Amino acid sequence: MKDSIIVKDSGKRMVAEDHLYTYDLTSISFSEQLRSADFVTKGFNSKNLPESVNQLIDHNEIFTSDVKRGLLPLNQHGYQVFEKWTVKLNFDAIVKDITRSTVTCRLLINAEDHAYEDRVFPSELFSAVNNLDIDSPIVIKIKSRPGSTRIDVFDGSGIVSLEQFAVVDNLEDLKGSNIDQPLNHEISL
Amino acid sequence: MTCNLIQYEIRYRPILDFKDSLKKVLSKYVKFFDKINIKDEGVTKEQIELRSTEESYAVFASWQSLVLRVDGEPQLLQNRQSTPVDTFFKIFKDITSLESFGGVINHLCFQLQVELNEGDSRANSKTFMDRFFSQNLRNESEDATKLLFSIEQIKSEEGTYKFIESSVYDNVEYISEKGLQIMDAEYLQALNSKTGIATEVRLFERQHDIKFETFKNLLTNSSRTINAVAK
Repeated sequence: MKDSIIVKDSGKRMVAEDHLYTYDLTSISFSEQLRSADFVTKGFNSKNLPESVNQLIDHNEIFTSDVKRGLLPLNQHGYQVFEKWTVKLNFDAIVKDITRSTVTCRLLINAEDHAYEDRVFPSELFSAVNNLDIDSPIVIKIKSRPGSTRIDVFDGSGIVSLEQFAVVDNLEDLKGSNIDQPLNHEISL
Repeated sequence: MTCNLIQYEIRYRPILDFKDSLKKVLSKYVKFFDKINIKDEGVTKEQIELRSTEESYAVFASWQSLVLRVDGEPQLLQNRQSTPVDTFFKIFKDITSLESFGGVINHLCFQLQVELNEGDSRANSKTFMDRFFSQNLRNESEDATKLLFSIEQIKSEEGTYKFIESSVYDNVEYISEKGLQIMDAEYLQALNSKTGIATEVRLFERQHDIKFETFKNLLTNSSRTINAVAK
């Protein structure tokens, strides 16, 4: 694997001549390899690259238009100090039960594992949700830090896919059907 | 203290009717953010930024890319339910559902890690030199505050690009020169008052099928590279 290793002066001084050095980018002893390398170059010259590579990578395009988006200078807009939350999570949910003081929601805890949990929340958290009803889609945002938790509730209409909850309802229909019991007798097909 | 500034970007074929369709998609999500910025309104490079100042993240949408900017630990983004990730991928899913959506072209991950400490620039300069440079170069350059090294790896057949850069971090101009804005208040304070060593990794991958797992793999790769360099 051939790579161009560049050590260059970000100010005015140049350090050494162009040079190519072979090393393994995935190696964890990366810094050790660098230390022992007899490399150092004065800069990256894209003219040295094969044409196919230059076609693939436009060095002026990669990241520049988005990272260098010309954002406002730092410190000019007086950053407000906000509470610092260490964990910030979103959960898609649907309403399963509503009482005078509580709302029970079924939360999709982990979309990858299709893990669901029913959780009960104080009803006042839902006062900003219009037309709250059974099966209303909800987004629940939970932020926490040591010693503190904050819960924000949003109307999930158009955001939460109700299909992802249909699987659980189908499973609930099978309750009491003994489908989870071992097959210990002959069956006729 | 270690500060992590992360940017993940999905690039797709230009959506010609983005002015109407994209705004319609984004409107649903405005309630999750506290700031909206529209840049170059009315022209093709129009860009809409939705920012949550409190949660230190922002989503930028344009006719050909969707960008997630986060200040925070990369490990927290490995969870599918993480607020920035969940919101970003919901928006992306809605974009891919548009009739005018023409497919993804590639994706990119940018990660800047600044290890801050109590030492001054001179002390960090020595640490930087000792960590990365051979004895010959150390003798040649006593002050490393103006030095940086960068490495590029390009695999044209596989359509991947990797860029690594590291240098002494001596003031916040280092960040602003990259055009980045610090969103996390704690980071801003620390980056304004301390020095350290900065390491940047950029990964580019030609990729047409983007899912959470694809993003997770790229981010894991990026973090692994940074940790290998900063070791």
